[in-house]
Amino acid sequence: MKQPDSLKALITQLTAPSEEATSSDREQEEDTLYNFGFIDEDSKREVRRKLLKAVAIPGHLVPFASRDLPVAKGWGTGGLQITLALVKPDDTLKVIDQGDDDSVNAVNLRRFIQKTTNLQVTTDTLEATIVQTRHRVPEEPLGEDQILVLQVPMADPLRWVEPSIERSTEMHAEADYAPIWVYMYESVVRSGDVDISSQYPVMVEERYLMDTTPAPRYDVPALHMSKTLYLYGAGREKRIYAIPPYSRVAPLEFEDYPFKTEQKPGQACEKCGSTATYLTQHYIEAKSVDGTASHSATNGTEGYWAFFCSDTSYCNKRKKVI
Amino acid sequence: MGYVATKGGTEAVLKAEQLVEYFRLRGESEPIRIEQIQDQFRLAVDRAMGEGSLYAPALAALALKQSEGDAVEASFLLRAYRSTLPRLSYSLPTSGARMRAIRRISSTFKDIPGGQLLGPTRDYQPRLLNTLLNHESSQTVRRYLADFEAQVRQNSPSDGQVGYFPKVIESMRAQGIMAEAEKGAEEEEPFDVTRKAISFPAPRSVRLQILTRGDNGSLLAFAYSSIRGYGDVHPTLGEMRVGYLPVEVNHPLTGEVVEIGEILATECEMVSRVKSTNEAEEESSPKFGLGYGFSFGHGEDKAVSMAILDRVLSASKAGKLHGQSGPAANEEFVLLHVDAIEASGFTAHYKLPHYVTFQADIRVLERAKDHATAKSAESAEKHRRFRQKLALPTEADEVERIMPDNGEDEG
Amino acid sequence: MQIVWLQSPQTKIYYNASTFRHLLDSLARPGKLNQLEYPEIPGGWLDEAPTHPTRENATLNPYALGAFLSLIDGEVSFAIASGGTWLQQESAAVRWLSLRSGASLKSPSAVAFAFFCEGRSGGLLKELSQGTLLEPESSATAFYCVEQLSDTPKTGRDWLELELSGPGILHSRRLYVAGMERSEIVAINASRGNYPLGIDLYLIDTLGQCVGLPRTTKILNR
Ligand SMILES: [Zn+2]
Repeated sequence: MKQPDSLKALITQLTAPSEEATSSDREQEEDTLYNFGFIDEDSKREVRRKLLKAVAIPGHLVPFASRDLPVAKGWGTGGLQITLALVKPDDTLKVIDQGDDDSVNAVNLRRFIQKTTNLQVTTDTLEATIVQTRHRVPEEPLGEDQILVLQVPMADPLRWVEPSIERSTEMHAEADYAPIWVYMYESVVRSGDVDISSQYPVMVEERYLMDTTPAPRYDVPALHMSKTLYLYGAGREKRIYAIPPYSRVAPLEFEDYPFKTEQKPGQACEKCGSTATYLTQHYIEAKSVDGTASHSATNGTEGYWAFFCSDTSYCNKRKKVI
Repeated sequence: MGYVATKGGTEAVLKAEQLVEYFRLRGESEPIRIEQIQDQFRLAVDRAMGEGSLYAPALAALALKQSEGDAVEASFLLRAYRSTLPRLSYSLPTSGARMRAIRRISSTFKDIPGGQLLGPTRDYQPRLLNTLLNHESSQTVRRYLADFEAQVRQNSPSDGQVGYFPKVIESMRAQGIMAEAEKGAEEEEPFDVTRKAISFPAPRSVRLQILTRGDNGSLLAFAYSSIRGYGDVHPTLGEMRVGYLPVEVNHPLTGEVVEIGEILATECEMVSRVKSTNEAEEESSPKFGLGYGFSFGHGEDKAVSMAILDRVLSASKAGKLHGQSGPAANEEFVLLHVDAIEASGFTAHYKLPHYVTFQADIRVLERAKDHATAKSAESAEKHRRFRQKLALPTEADEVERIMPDNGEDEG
Repeated sequence: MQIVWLQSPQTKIYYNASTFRHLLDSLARPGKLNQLEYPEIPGGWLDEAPTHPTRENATLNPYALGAFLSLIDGEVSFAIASGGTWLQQESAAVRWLSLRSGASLKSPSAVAFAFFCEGRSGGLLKELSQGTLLEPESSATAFYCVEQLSDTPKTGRDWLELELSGPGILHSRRLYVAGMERSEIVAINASRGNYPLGIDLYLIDTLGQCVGLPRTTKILNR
């Protein structure tokens, strides 16, 4: 399977200046249409001040004003505002959704950021200085000079047990997390597992209960003592929070019911063979008779379900090595 | 491969953009001009400005054209555009009394100071489809306007007094039947939810700002829920007026007050009895409390709904008896759910790919299934052992007993 | 290309972004030295920069001023102290900061940002807000201007040797500071005994090296 060049083409088209346009022309255009990074400087400053406080109080939800963006609320505006407050012209950006650089919403967000910053973009996790993501932490370990920005829909892990923000803010203040423990205990008794599949709650630095965004449990261990700074933005909920590097992050678990990820032993990616990545199910249409089916479907006419890495860039890299 | 294809996402997005444009144009009718939308879709423009939180009729008309008339999408476009505008100055507080009204009514008294002015309203028109509009032409429009203007010239009132009215609420205040507004709130700089993060409980200025930016339909539904049964505010319309309000700023150099323009707006004041938990207090001075509604342009449903909700929330916040019941009396619940841009964004976000989380959900479901199977096997085993202990027939024996062997099985 | 940038009105925007990244990294990795950019903005950001309020013929640390300005605006308030006293509205430094940022001077307990012109607050640190349990983020952030910072061993009477640990630090980290009073470390530690309350700090030296000490950092004076 060959990766089509459309993404690369778009990236080139957006980054490379047309032959007659000089660099100053491009800047002119940037100037007149939008501020660098779309949102105005005062708004960026507000996000920045809140980011600093979020880093200083790991796992604590910091309210911020949250501007309206040309992207729908709930579609990544929190992560986007963080990225726009972070970026400087020499950054290299990667945007993924479900681990995929070419997922429709990742494409849209990347287009928007590029249009307003003229930033270098990449699909290679290791090349990026900033990675903006929804629902996944990249498979390749991130380094100290990288920042991971996560888009967050719900923000407050207590929402499971307490819908009122006024009340849940008090619970966080008092570190009163008994209700979530009860909720988890009951679900283990009832169904043999914690009901919360993704956005699994964790304790950060033994003080704040934190929502891991709907990232799979598989990604939770990557948050503990990581080399990288994790920044979380919830645009609609108007909250920012952070996990600094080398911070202790522990998923909630019971002594007799330890934290479990989704992985099934032995399951492997059908593209790259990896057994140590997060996999998602894909339906593979049967190929027509003259098609070049790489897999013999059971009866020759029906499609089948296959498991692939959700991190497409990493999967492609592995395939190339193989 | 579907819309979340591991490849071709970029291409799909670009093609989708082309398709949107194609579907907008494929009827091949005359392109609609912005000016036409601004003039003839007045109320849609007003709504987009209100929810978009930007008073700019021409831009709102453009947004409506671009969004093919989708009200929420149009206000979304305006909101996003609004984020790019620098805030040059703050306008000075104004008062509804300074409105040049085209309509003002009160349902508290038949005759009010200044009198009732029905103005442009469909309230008392039978809602019949007007098939004549099918054949409306520039000519019929011109003729109508000429006739109407001739009529106006004949009855034109004396200059200088047109459209300015005292406020009904003020006369009620003078009669001593209105509860006084919270002291100090007027002097306070209003909170700005677009600049600062809110938390709860929120000041009244937060409430008013969120409500006036709120979705018409949501405000209507919440207000309706409260007056229909899930609440105990029984409001009366003190006054509603529609008209032109001056916008004034301090001149940046001289500091003088300068009028820089006017906006069309709708203002509404609802009143209802303030009931107190404290009987003595109620005995001594029964009063009416005020709820305030405001909307850009001509937006009566919105202004009335907002005024009802403001009243309900004030009442519930004051800890008085009424307003404690019903969802519309829950400040956080109302304020966090009336914004069209936020609500539609998050509701629509389920269209985004969720296959990573869904895979996780499947795994948890599988575990729950295994657990259920194990549990039922376990309880069946317990049951069997229990019956054995009591020397009761096992379930298998039971089945045999109930279904007597008719000998055919063997055949 | 470089020249275009320097002359572009965007320069301040880029300076703010780059400075923020250093400040963020400093706070995320306490004790790590980050080299700040010199805030030489065309259009005269540093024009008529105030001289040191209490030291004759000395300038105020331009790196620290630039970093401080990159975070404040009309939405927040600040306080500035020199020689152990808070400066008043009429002081040149206050007027300069207000004019450049739109931020207003307020009483120390109410401000989001505080600037100490030296490596000591003279007991003023404890007047700043440590936040509340409901809003620990409402606490102040304070900037100290110190003489010199180093991550390699320094000895001598002028140098403090600090051992840092906490989030952002793998095991522990050594930091050497010149131009900071030993008693200030005691005051800093006293301000962070009640986590999640506390004041977040930056130390910036005359060469523009910056260190962040968030409230989570434990500081041991060796
Ligand atoms: Zn793979």
